[in-house]
Amino acid sequence: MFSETYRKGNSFLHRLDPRLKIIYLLFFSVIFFLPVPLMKYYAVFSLIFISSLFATGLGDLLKPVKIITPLLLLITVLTPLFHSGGDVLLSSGNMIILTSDGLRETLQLIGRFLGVTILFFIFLRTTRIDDFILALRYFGLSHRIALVITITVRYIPYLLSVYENTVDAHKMRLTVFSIIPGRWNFSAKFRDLLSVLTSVLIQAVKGIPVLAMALETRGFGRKNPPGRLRKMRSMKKLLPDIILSFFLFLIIVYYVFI
Amino acid sequence: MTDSDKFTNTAAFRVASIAVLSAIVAIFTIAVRIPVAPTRGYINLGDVAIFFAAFIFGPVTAFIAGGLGTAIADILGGFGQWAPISFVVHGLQGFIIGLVYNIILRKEEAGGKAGIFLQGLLPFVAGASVMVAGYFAAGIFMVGPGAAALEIPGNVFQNLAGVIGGISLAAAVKKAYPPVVKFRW
Amino acid sequence: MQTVLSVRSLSFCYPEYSSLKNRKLYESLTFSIEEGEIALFLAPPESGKTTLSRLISSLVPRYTGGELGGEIFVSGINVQEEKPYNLNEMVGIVFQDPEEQILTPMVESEIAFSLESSGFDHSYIEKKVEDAIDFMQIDMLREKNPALLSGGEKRKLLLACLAASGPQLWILDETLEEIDPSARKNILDKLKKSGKTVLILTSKMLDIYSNYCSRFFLFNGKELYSETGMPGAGFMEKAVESGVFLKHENMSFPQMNYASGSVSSGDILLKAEDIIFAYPDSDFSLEIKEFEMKNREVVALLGHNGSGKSTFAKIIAGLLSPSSGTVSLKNGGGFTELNSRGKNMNVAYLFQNPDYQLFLPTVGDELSFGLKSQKIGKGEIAEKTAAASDLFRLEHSEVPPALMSYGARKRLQAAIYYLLEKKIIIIDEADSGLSFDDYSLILDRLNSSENPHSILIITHDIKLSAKIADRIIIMKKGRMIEEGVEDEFEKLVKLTF
Repeated sequence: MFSETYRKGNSFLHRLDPRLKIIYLLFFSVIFFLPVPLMKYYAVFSLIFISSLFATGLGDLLKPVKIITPLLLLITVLTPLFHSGGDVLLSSGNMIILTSDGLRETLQLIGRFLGVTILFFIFLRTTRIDDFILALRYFGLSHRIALVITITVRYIPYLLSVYENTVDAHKMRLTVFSIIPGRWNFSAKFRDLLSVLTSVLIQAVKGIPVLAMALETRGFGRKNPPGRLRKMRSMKKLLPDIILSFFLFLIIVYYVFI
Repeated sequence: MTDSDKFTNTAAFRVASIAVLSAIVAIFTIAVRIPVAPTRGYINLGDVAIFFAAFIFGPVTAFIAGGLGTAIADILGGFGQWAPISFVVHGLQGFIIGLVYNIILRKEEAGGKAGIFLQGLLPFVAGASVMVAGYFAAGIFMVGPGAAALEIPGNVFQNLAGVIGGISLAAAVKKAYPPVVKFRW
Repeated sequence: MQTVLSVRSLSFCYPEYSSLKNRKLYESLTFSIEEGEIALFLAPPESGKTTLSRLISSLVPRYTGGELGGEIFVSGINVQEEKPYNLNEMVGIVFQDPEEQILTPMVESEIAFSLESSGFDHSYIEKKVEDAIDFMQIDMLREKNPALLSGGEKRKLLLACLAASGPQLWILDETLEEIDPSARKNILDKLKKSGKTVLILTSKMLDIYSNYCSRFFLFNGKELYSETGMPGAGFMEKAVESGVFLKHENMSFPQMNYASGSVSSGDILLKAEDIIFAYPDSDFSLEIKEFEMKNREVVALLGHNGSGKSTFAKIIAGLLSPSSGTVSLKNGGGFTELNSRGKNMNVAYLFQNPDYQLFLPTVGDELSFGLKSQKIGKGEIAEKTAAASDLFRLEHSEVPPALMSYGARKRLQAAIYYLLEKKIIIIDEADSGLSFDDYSLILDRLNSSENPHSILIITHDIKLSAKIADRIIIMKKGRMIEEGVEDEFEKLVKLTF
């Protein structure tokens, strides 16, 4: 399932330590939400976009942009209406359609939303889910919550197949003797859906004690601190990357704010 | 049997219930979509699952399952940028619904009668206000007030579907699988 | 030699819910296993094997409630006084349904799970995981997602999990039966050589077990018979009686010259022609030129996992749409082509898992659900459901189906379709989970003269299908094979025994 978000590769973004990637993600997200001059804003965006190109190629990187295009259009149409300050750039009769404030605000929102979208996309494209969880563990995520995420990720495809089979099984309860019910009508559809969902939930809920058993037979619940199969790179090995990132952050902060 | 021996108090049971409910929330969000006729848009049933989690399992399960389930659904659906917002907003939504429902349950235990109407109305108001306000506030920053405001009616409707669906499903599951009433913690 | 497992006068009964009475699973079960022994515990389905495995690892009654009597010792420790998580180095189970036991989306982390819980250090865990992968020879699965593995591979993975944590007692709950014969032999070799103490719980006596096991138990739901060394003739007779062993010579196979899709004569009820189907992003393709079913005929569709049996059956039932081809049903003198909805209405597909379709509070509700959408009066509905309850031995109409045993849920599933008066019933065979009694009852009722159905059974187990089918079709790689049928059949016979 997660194959849809993560894609194998060997770019520098794939190889970058997930802990550093999380920090990059936070750093750039914050930059995008701060009041920054428009030019510099797009300069930062270009930097991210171009470095992401190395990891995915243009076609792949445009996918999330395609998804948000309708929303971008909506922003373009709606945002100017909320800003009447500045010079009037476009008007029709007495109606002011676009002002300089409105234009700036619109471009800012588009840049921000595009930027955040690309950031998250490239992060998930280049980071394996278990590396991501491991990095979160490093930043203090508890063992239990990490386990919850792991099991959730494992259970989604399983319960999805339960759901699909349940839909099929309920279809089988149709019979030629039914007074052909108007299945197009909303209340019948709603009832059908509810019965499918009830089946799915009963199965899911029934499985909870069994899952708890599976956890306990594998030693979950012990008081001792848990061990780890997978280790992350040691700080020593990471040092050059950390120093490099630090200077990169400094340069960007300097460029953006001063 | 001491309290710490009750099976709902084991770490394993709690991890299991949160994980299963998170997966359920994610699946209800991704897979179960009802087309809304004229616009060809979709509403999802993630909120139904959150209400269900809050009614059956309580605020803590609903908090994590609501947050985690919707965040993962966003990531899988290609809306990763919304994941942190969904995590906070839907998490709080689930938590509040669970808390309000806890109060109703305690009142009922004390002999009061809330009635089906109040049982639905209070959680709905609490859940909807958190979720609608949360997405609107986040939306102002992400996409501007115009686009954010457009989402409000849809979100209110999703909460309405959530409470109706959640109550119906909770009742149906309790009847069909009675042991579930002991699962609340 | 040391006694590893000792069960003393064990009795157990699940808790009762309002309308559901539970019988005692065991009255007074006493047996033991010595160190280094591979012991076989034979019992028909639903006689409490899974419960026994969970009692030994202290999971029951912890998570289920119920009344327990007697004691269970593992290496001298009374397990019921311990928390299950502290027993993970003493008792290891492979669950009957691996889907319920797999916890992570990665093979390696799955194997490491128990070691991580025990808090071992990194290098030790790494070494143990490597050893376990080596032991089970699953190096090629290492980086895969367990969810994408086959049933046999999943069980190998779970065996590797036990190899990693190295418990004193291994409990395999219907595990080896679902692994292919050569790998099965390999695993038993290794277990024997490394001197593991193993309890194999199963409802099928495979020939291979007599070569590896040194202690045999047979529990028929009431009494326990045991034997050391080789199982004697008396023991085997009891095994045949309890339905856990079928002798080869007792089996009569239906005529093999019918082993192709078309029927030479007789009144044909259903026809499928030129069906072509392919899954997106997969090499698998299905191509069926001609398939026919007669009135009241029982056809067994045999083949390995992935041979296309279920795919074909789902096309007949209208659950999958073929890219081309037609399915038509006899209508008066001629045939009418069915659309998806038409197939849904005329055909029933009984999923292996009956829970997919159950959702109502009582057996009675489930039975009358379909009737309520028909033009039938209340009195008649009550009459019909009562008759169906009787036929399918569903004694208590007030019981919530979700609390009933697997066999009872399967009978309910069949009764529901019986009432819907479908023409064709497809049974996705519940291989090991269903007792022979329940299985033959279901088939008998659905194929009775008062209510005749044509039945298609999907299976990879020839044992039962051979007993009941009028015609056997073998599928391989999405085709119904017409040449070399005998050879394929021989291979499937080997898989079963």
